[in-house]
Amino acid sequence: MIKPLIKGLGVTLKHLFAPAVTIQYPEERWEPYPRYRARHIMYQREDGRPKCVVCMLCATVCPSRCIKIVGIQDEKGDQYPRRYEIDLGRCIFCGFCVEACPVNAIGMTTHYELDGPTRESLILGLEEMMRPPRG
Amino acid sequence: MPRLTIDGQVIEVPPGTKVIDAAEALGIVIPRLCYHPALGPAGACRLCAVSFLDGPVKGVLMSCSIEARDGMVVSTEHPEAVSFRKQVIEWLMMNHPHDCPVCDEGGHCLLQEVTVASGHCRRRYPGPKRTFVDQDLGPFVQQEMNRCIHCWRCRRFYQDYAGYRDFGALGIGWRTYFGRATSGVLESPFSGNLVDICPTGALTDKPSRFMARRWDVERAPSLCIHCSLGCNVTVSAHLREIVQVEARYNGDVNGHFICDRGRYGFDYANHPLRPRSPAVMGEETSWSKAIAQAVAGIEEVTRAHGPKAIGVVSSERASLEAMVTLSLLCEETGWEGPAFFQDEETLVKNRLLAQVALSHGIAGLREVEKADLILIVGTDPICEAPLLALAIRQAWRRGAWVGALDPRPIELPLTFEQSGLWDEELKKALLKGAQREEGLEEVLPGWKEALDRSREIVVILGPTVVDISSLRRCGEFVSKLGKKARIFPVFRGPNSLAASALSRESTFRSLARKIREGKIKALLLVEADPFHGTKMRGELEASIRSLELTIVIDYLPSEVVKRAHILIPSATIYEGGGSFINQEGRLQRASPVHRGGIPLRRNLQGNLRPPRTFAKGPPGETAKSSWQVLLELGERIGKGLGIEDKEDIWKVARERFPFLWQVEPGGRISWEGGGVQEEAMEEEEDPSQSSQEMRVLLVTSTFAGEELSQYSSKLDPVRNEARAFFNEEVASQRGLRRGDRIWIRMGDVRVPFSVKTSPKVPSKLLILDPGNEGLWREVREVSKTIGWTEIERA
Repeated sequence: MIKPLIKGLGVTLKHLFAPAVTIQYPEERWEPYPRYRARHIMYQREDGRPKCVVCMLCATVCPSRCIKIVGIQDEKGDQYPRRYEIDLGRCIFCGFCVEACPVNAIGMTTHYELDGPTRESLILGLEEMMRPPRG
Repeated sequence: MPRLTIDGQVIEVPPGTKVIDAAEALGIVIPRLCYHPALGPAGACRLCAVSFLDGPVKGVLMSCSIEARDGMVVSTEHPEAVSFRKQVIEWLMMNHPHDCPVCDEGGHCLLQEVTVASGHCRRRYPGPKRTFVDQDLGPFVQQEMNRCIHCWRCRRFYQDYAGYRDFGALGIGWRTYFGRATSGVLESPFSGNLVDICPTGALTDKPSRFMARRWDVERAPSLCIHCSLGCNVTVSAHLREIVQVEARYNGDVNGHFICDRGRYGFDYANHPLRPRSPAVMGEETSWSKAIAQAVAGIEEVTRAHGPKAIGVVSSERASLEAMVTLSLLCEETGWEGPAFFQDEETLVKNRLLAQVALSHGIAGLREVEKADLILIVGTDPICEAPLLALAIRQAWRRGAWVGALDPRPIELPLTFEQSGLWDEELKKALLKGAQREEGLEEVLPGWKEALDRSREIVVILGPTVVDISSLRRCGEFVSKLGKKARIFPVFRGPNSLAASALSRESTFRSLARKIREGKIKALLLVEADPFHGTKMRGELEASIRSLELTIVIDYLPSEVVKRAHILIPSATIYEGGGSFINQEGRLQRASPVHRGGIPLRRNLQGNLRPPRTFAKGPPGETAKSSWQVLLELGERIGKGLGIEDKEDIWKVARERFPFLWQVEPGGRISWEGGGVQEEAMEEEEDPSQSSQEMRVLLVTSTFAGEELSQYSSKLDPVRNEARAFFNEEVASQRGLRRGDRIWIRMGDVRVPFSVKTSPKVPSKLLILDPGNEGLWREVREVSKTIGWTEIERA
């Protein structure tokens, strides 16, 4: 009976002196690895329009069906999205959309601090997506 | 019967079958881009190459151009053939842009399919790609010539099959350009088929552009209900919106194609003003309240005036389920009706036409295609049943002789004889034609010769222009022609044949008379708009206003819906499905495509997302078809029919209306007409006795005038203006020329018309096509005759 008790206390003692695995979050911030998948980003063409060509492949491949796209065409025949929304409340950050994109228009950043007071505020619109994430 | 071996399987096919079709019969689909069963082989794409190992021909050859013959041994998987096909795809892709992600065809593209299947992924040739300048081909077809692979399907359909000349092939060799001489709207009312048959994204559907990928949409087999032919279509819905209608192959009815009215007339289902929720006195309310109000209203009227004080009106566009339920309900309750037709004349004409056609052998589109003598009596195929014109053209291409007896200047994509006979003259001509040896030779030169060498005769007969006695005369005339003659009836609505079979004596006019006499106090309108195409608007408005209760069950934002006391929305054919009997008596069923509801695109305007509220169904869903609403009403007033679902309707109706239900869906009904009394109609006096007056004939055109497609915004760009057709001589005497603008006074409204002249129009006749309505809606009454004093230049 004594033996397991000492063993258990030993584990506790070990962790008392081992370096901490947690961080003091608001003061300290975790730096994710570059390959980490968090908030999406829409890359831009040279003229500042989104690079997306509205092929719907991301919306098709998306397993949580959280991407909604409405496309238009300019007078030269180039297609671009008028509306491109990702519902981050439903997104599972699998990165399939990035993989499916034939023109490398959509990417994922390491910005993981995603929050909002309402469900609607978690919907990522086109303009917001084209700005680099804050912070 | 040639027997041949394809990939080790032996098959026997009728002589003349192409090897590609023989293989398809075995379930082996040889890739093809230019071959189309309706258009035949062109040998342009070289993709259907197979190896002929033994038999009359040997080597790698095109299976679409070679007829199956005895002793052929064909291998589709021979390494030589496979490598041939692979290289064909490589050079087809040499000039094809690699833009599948932005191409609207991506996902249902034949070229994409074969390219992926062949494994081609890298272009070896480093030179530039061939490019073209695109044209604007109007509101329906989007051209992107860079994607063209020169299969010639579009030209072969447009010029050879459909017979229009404004779109074709220009240039030679690899610079061949498929388009018009200059940008402009395609003239053919069948232009939408170009989208269906184009194997790449060179010609794509403009109205549904960028809306959805093929795998995103909800699709179901459905029916086109924009005329009486009952063409088969596939309907796509996306985000609660109908986005596209395509032709669905049915060898017995429409074949591979449909007309543009059927293809782009679907938009009434997405109409922004479509009734979506029940309303009482114009105020939206819940389903239960609206039904309760309706029941209370009906019971009150019944208590005060008896069941005969309730009139029931439906129309030719109601589904068979609705018609049957309504008929049973009227029998059960003793309500007046149901009335399916505007007036007695239309009812008798429709019945008579059904009777005449069914007793002489009714013809469908396939019989028209096989005929070698076609006589059109009182029908304008392009306007009333557009696909019929294509069928007539196919017969004409095989050498058939076509003649028309119609006062309208008919336009058909073929050469034919026309005589503008009408009324008395038509009757006389038919009588003479039936009596004398040379028949109609006097009015239609070439008739006698064509009749002598004909084996299959089809008489196309419509009830709109000809009067009752001419219809009957026509029946006699056809029986004189002998057993080889059949009648192809052209009705007005998709379910007219069923309506004339189920109709009692009531018509809307007779009910209106009873309303004026005070016998009818309440009206139940089921998918009917009496204001559509009426000549008696003023009278109609007065009688509807004098009613104590108007209950409307409908899905259109029609005029009567606006005047309804109680409005109950119903489901369209896309949401509820339904059965329809087409002009040849073929019973066909449509499946529901989607659940319906307010289209999400409309919700997205302004708001970022649809409102997050909790409900069982999608917002604006009209879950019930009209027959379901009727059953519920019947149950609530204590006259339940013991029907719960569609199958029950079939069961009950089979017992009650056996003539309609002897067949399984897809087959033809056999019904001897019946119920047409010989003395049914008193023939009216010819009112145009004085030489100054002209008889008025109201007609409709392809894209304007049909009830459902009238609400489709997709067709707005091609709707014609109001036109008035005069006899050429009469018009020139009065100094009117083609294209002049005139005002015609009708009551206190002046309606603008554009003048059209034709030598075919009888001199005492004025043909009016209201076109896309407009001021027409204010005309309170269209008189039977119009004098020159009422016509003035604009």
